[in-house]
Amino acid sequence: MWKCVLLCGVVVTIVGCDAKIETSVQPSQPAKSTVKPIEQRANGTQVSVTLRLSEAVVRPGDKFEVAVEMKIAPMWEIHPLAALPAETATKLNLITPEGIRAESEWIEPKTARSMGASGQPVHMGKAVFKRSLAVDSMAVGEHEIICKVGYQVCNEQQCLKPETLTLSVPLMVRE
Amino acid sequence: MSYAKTFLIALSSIWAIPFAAAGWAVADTELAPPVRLEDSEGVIDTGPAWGHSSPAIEDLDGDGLADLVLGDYGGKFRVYKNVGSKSEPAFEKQDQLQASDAPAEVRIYCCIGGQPRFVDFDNDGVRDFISNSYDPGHCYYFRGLGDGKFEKPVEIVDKNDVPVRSSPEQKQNFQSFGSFYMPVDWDDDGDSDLLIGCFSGDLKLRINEGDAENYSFAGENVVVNAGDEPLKVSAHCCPVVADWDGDGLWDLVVGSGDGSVNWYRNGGNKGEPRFEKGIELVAKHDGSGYNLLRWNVNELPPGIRSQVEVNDFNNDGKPDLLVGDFSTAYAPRPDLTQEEKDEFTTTIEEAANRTSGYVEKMNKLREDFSKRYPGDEVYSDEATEAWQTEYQALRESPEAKELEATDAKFVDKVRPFLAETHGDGNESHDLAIPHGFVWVYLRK
Repeated sequence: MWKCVLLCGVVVTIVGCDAKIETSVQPSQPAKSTVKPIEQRANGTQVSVTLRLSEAVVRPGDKFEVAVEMKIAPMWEIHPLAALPAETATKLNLITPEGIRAESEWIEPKTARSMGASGQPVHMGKAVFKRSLAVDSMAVGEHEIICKVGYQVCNEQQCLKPETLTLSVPLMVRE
Repeated sequence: MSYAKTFLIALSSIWAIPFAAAGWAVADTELAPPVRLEDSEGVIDTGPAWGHSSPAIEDLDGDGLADLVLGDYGGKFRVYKNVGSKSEPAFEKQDQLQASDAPAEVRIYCCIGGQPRFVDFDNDGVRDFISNSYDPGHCYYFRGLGDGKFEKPVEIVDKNDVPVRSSPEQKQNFQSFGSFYMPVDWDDDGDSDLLIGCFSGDLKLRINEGDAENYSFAGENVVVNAGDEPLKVSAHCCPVVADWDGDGLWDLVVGSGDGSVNWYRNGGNKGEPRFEKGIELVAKHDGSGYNLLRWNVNELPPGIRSQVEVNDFNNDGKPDLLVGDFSTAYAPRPDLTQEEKDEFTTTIEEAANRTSGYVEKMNKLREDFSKRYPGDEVYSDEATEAWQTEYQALRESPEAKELEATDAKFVDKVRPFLAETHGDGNESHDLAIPHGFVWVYLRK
């Protein structure tokens, strides 16, 4: 498990990935600004995953967006959310604090055709999954948005072991 | 026609029956046209588990009749009990094979089936079985307890406690994925050595330096040759040993990713096998194995990824060939008019023969990246960033738009002709049904 304390006070935790993690840090931002991407790449593996919020600071009644960006190495691909067998599908399990409500299901980017003989739908290059959230009345202070991300990466010949990462980003709630 | 009703089945597996000592001519190895195995419910099809049938013949319950144990893509093993007689065999689907108090299982999520191989691995007089796995690609030993019961699997390791696998020292943790294992007493010293069929198509050997009761495998593999070169099939090398020509020496019969099966005659001596170049027993599948078109499922040909077993299936003293496979096929409605059939056929053929500008461009892009970023450089940030840009440009190209539009039209046009589909989605991939049959090729 890696635990990185970023300059802006963001804590990012990654669990379940054997590879070395590199984290690029963005400087702290003024209140109510867009949170910059926090890039985390597992060197030697085929996918890097970023969890990103559209707002770093919110108030009750606000709406904002969470995004999971998956950058997939050349000539590799991942499966869509509804892929079968289920073990192979990309999985996004969002865990929000009490008072944060999901307003939509995950919006998935358009799939492409697999480079393998099956021609099954896949994601290649960059895939950004988005979901809308709303802030109900909740305690002011710092909270955490967590997302467990599961995926399996394949190339034309073979698939690798499904991986699971847990990413988290802070969310400041003000009056 | 059902072989279960038509042919005799041998009493035991190839391990228990020495074939005729006199042998027969190589020219006699022609095989009769294949027929799919059936059980009491009809044709045996592992399609719901995404196919990749992996047959083994074994008298599991000791009643003197050979049963079928069938692995597949799901990683478990289904028992088909022979409830007939020696002269009138009939298979009946039973529970999954159990290991201790749970279904025996190996980890598979890509490309192959779990291939059981039965053998008395520890020389205790009770038959055990071993199986391959896709991930991590290691070999698992299910110790037999008798009466068709087995212990929980044990990963077979070498004398250095490293799992026996196709790549003893791995640079990537997926290097040994998708291997196949076949026990054989290679050096005739009374114990089981292991043949390792590799995902790449190569065949290797791991010698057991221990004895029949306590195995101790060498730390390295030995390359197996055929003729003067390493034995290699197109991919997914699935070996089984059997005295195919009845000369008293065991030979190799090897399945392949392209659906072909080859026989490698052992021209050596007992304890010193030496294999001749392969002779094709089953031709490779004509096509990719995906999206086949037949009006009746019974007309489907053998598919890809052949996983083989050899057994004297009709009890005539000669070993026969069983082949598990994988394919996907459209399932057209049986009530289509001739006009509809013609339209459907034309649509499918046009789609199969269509040259996609997108695919051509994608292949060029991949080729280019392989040259620009050889080996692990393809995982660099630079390569990934370049791929994001160039792949995205391709996705937005006229060729990509044309492919998307064509695919959508194809799905809309074809779906009404189909009785059932694999998925409910709007991709062409959702249309064809997966299959995994067991084909029996009798020796003429």
